[in-house]
This record gives sequence, structure tokens and C-alpha cells, in this order.
Amino acid sequence: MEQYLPILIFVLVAAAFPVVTLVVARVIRPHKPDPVKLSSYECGLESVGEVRDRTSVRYYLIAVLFVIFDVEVIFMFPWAVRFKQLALLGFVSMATFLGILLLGYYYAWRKGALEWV
Amino acid sequence: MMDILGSLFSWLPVELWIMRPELCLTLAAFLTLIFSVARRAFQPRWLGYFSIAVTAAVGAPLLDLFRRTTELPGQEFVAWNGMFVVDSFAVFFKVLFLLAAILTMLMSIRYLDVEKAHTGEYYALIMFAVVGMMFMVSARDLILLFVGLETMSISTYILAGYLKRDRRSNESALKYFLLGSFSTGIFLYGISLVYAVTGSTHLRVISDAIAEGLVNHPLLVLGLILMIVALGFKIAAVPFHMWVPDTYEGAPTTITAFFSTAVKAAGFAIVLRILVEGMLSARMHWAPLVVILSAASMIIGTLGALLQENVKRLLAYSSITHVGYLLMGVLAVQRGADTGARGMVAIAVYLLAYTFMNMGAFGLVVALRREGLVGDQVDDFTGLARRAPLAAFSMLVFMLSLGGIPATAGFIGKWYLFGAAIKADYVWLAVLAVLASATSLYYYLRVVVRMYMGEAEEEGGLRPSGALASALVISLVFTILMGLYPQPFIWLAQHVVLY
Amino acid sequence: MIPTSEVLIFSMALLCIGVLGVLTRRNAIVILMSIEMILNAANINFIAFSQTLNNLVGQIFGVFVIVVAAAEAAVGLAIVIALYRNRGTINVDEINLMKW
Repeated sequence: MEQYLPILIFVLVAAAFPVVTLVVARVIRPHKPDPVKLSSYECGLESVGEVRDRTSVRYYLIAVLFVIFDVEVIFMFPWAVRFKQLALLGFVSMATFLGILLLGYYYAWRKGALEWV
Repeated sequence: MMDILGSLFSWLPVELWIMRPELCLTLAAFLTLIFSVARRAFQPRWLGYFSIAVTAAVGAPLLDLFRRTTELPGQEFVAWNGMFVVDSFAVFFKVLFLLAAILTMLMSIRYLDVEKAHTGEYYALIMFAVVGMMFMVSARDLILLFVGLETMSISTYILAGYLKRDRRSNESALKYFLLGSFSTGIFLYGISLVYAVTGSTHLRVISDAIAEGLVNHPLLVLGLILMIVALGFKIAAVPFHMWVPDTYEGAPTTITAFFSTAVKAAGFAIVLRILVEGMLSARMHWAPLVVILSAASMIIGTLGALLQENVKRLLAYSSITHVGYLLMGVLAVQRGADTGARGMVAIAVYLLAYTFMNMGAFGLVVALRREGLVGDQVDDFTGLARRAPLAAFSMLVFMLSLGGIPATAGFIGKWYLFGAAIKADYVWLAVLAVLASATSLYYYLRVVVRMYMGEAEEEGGLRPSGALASALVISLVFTILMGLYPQPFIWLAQHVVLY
Repeated sequence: MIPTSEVLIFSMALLCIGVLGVLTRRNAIVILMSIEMILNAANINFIAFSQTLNNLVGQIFGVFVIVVAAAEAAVGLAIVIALYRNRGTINVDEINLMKW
């Protein structure tokens, strides 16, 4: 167990460090709040609107389309890794698969799912 | 004609050649989808006719495959590392799915106009669902079976909520989706445990591993139980039936018809594939569970249907009862006994009969639908005999057949199923089934009594479209024909045996 | 390497959390997330046993499960949105137009 003692000390020091610094800072710093100081920090720009703002339902559509097309790529990894061994059969299968995805893409496009209104 | 069609595809490698029906149907589904949004979009009505024609045409390669697989008993074509198998079992079920899909699409054309939701995607989704079912019944590997099952399920979730402005349709889809995908998760977990024990997802390898002494491995038993729970959800057996009445009531009526015939048949096909081809050696573990499911389904289904005022809901509960009957056929399958074949043949006969009579019954509900009348209440049938004698007569036949009266298709199906149960020493279950079907006559005849004894509130007959009328006539003719002259249907069903 | 029994305990815990979530939660989206958790529990089993059995089938199955889960989630969310537009709620207790 003895060789673990340094680790224990290290853990204690690591846990104490943020607590000590925060408490010390709290004690010695001046405390003069004003609205600008209390506003949330957004890269130095003035923040606009609420955090819990609603997003357009259009965004959901795009997100779902993204998830679907993104996940389908998973099938391309094994094919890409073994491209040479899978030879023509692999290529034709993947071409068919991508063709079906393209059909789906065309459908979504024609349906207007990609337009941001 | 068959030879010309056959030679048309002869250049294909055998792996694809035995998948002709699936390939054609997939292609047709994509074409329908693209046509429905093309720059010069086609009328949805024409896409419907196109889909019906293609689905019917796919019957030709299927019949060719049926001829080839029935030349010798046990003849089968296997491809893709033994994953995909075409045997007479699979071909029979595929024919059944096509039949149900054609009848559904025939009934849909006017119905969707009335619902103001007529688009080409509807037909594409039905075809995708059928493709999924076809892969399910041909799968000898759980991976392919799972992908087929999900292709079917996802298409049917969308179809249940197809009337997206109708609140009941939304609700139906949500309930179906939540419980369906929940059961998918349970099914997958069961598969993963079976894979952990046997080291494979191929049903034959699993079967061998179980026979070699893994039968009592606790993880295997747990996996099997989870899989049966999930299959219970899919075929809607009690106690996993909660979603059925709501989903059946809320979904578009044509889709409810499709659910109760094709989707249910697909569920039974994979139950047989998994339990008989993969797990027959573990029968002592699954048989007690199936007994419980069967008995509970018969009792709860019958009791639930007694007081329904909504025909779709009534038929939903009645379909639960029918699942109870069908599960007796699964129980009849035993190792080293000819009762096994008897059970599977009985299931096939029953599903065939059930497809015709249930499609017909739902077809009548579709026929009653018009602007301002949903037509799914029992009261809507009141006095129908006066207004539309032919429609009332066909409803009478469908109801009697569902109740199992002799000289109808339902009687032949019940005869075979109950006989199989008795031969397999489940006499008490058969007695329960007889009691349930006697009770069920009450609620089937309730509709008939309203039709013939009641006074109609409105005048004028039904005016079904030509397509709907032909679907009804097909259902009616086959229901009666199968009751009076069952031999050809039984001959067909006799090929539905897993070896 | 992590022993299989611990993987199994982990995946079963995940399964139980998912099942409990489906049974007790009333928000349709949360139920959907619980279902995804069940699928992931199965996936963990597939991957872990693929490793211990030295057999690739489990990993292939895992890939298919991921893809199917994505498709299912897309359809599920669409159904929930259609429902929300018509009813203004996704609480499954309030979705009760049809009873008995």
C-alpha cells in the first residue's frame, strides 16, 4: 500500500488547490458589482437574447437529415479499410448503397427539407 | 411466359437471382418515391396503380421460385454465406405478404382521397415494408433478420401516423413506435446474449451449439426469454398487447388491415424461424412461455372484444385472440414427431384464411368511410342490409368466418390448428380455444345483428371505388372458396415446413 | 483487458436503467432516450463478446444497430413533432384519446 502514499498526497493537494485559491480570492478581492460586470461573458461582445431561446423547427429537420447521412458513413469505413480485398463486389455494393443514399437526398431536396425559410 | 421472364434474369449471379422478388420490389418502391416528387410529379392515383401492378408482377418470379423449391422436399437455395435462404417456407410467406399488400393498396386509393392525404410515399412505404418482411422470412442469420424486421417496423411506424393532421393517427403512431422500438431493444439484448453463449448469429450454428450441451446455460435461457418477450410485442400476444387496440383504432383503416394480416404473418414467420430452426433443442425453455402467451391471449382478447363499440377496436381485440390460436400451432412443433409439420401447416392455413377474412372485414369499414363519417362504429353498420345488401352479405361472411363457422375459411383454419394442438397433447389449450371461439361468435354476430335487424338512419347504398370493390370481391370469393373447397389451399400450405 | 463478466454487469445495468426509464418516465423524448440506452446496452455486449470470442460478427452487428437506431430515432422524433403540433404536449399520460 505504501507506494500509493504519494498518489494520496497528490490527490489531496489537487483537491485542496481550487478550494484554497477560490476561498483566498473571495476573502481578499474587492466586491463592487455592476450590471456590466454581472452580464455573462461572450468573447467580449455584448450578449444578445436569452440562453434558452427557441430554435426554429427547420433546424430540427436539418439536424435529423445530418444524423441520418452522417451515420450511414459508418458503412464506408470497413469498405475503405479493405478496399483492395473487397475488389469489384465491394465497389459495386458500395456504389449501390451510395446510389440509394443519393435517391434519399434527392427526395429530401425535392421535398424542400433543405430550404431555410 | 414464365420461361421468358426467367430467362430475362438468367444473367444474374445466383445470389441475386434468388432475390429477384426483393430486388424488383425495392426498385419499384424507389421509383414510386422519386416519381411522387419528380419535377413533373405523377398523380398519386397513378402511382397507386403502378405499385399494385408491380407488386402483382413480382408474383411471377415468386411462383417460379415456389416451383423450384417444391420440386423436392427440403429443396432450398442459400446465398450470402448462408444468410439468405429461399425455401418453400419463405416463398409461401412472401406470397402471403404480396397478397396482403395488393389488397391493402386496392383499398387505399379512394380512402386516401377521402382523407385528403393521397401521396405516392404511402405506396412506397408499403412496398418497403413488404421488402423488409421478405428479408425477414428469408433470413437464416439474426443480423439479416434484424435488418429486415427494422425495415418493416420503421415503414409501419410512419404508416400508422400517416394522417399527420389526425390526432388519433398521431397517437396511434406514437404508441406503436414507443412500444415497437422498446421491443426491438429487448430483442437485440436477447440476441446479444445468445451470441455471447453460442458465438454466432447464424441460426443453424446456434441450433448446433445448443444441441451440443449449452441448453441450460443461464445467459442463453435469459436471451431466449428476452427474445420471446420481444416477439410477443411484435405479434401482439398478451401480456404484450397494450398498444394493439389504440394503434389499430387510430391508424388509417387500410393500414390497420395491413398490420393485422401481413405484419402479423411476418411476426409468426420469424417466431417459427427462430424457435424451430434455431432453438428447437431448447424447447423445454420456450414452450411453457408460449403456453402462457397463448392462453392469456385467448382469454384477454375475447373478454376485451365483448364490449367494444368501435369495429376497428373490436377487430383489434379479436386479432389478439387469433394470435392465441396461432401460438398453439407453434407449440405443436416438437422434435422427432410429425406433429411439428402439422403445427406449421396449420399456422400457414390459418394465416392464409385470416388474411382474406380480416382484409375483407376492414375493407367494409373502409367502404363506409366518406366525407363526414369515419364509419368505424358498430352503429354505423346499423341497417346496412337494407341499404347495401351485397356489402352486408360480405360482412356477414367475414364475421362468420372470423368466428369459425363451417363452410368458411376460418373454420378450416381453426380445424387444423385445434387438431394440431390436440395431437401435440395440449388438449386443455384446445378446449380453451373452442370456448374462446364460441364466445367470440357473440361479438362478431353483434355486428351482423345490427346490420340485419337495425333501421338505417340514412338512405342510399355504398359507392365503393372499383379498386375497393375488387379487393372486397377477392376477399369474399377466397373466404368462401377456401371454406367449401380447401384442398388447393391446404396443398399450398403443406409446403410450409421447416426442416 | 476488462473481464467479460464486468462488461455484462455494466450492460445489464444500462439495460435496467433503460427499461426503468421507459416504464416510469412520462416525456416521450425521455422515453426515446431510454430506448436508445437499451440499444446501446446490446451494442456493448456485441462489441465486448466480439473481442472475447475473437469473432467479428458482433462488431458487424454493432454497426447495423447504430445505423438502425439513427433511422429509428429520426422517425420517432418526427412522430413526436407531428403529435406536438396537434396536441401541444408530449406527455404520454395526456395522450389518451383512445381508451378501452
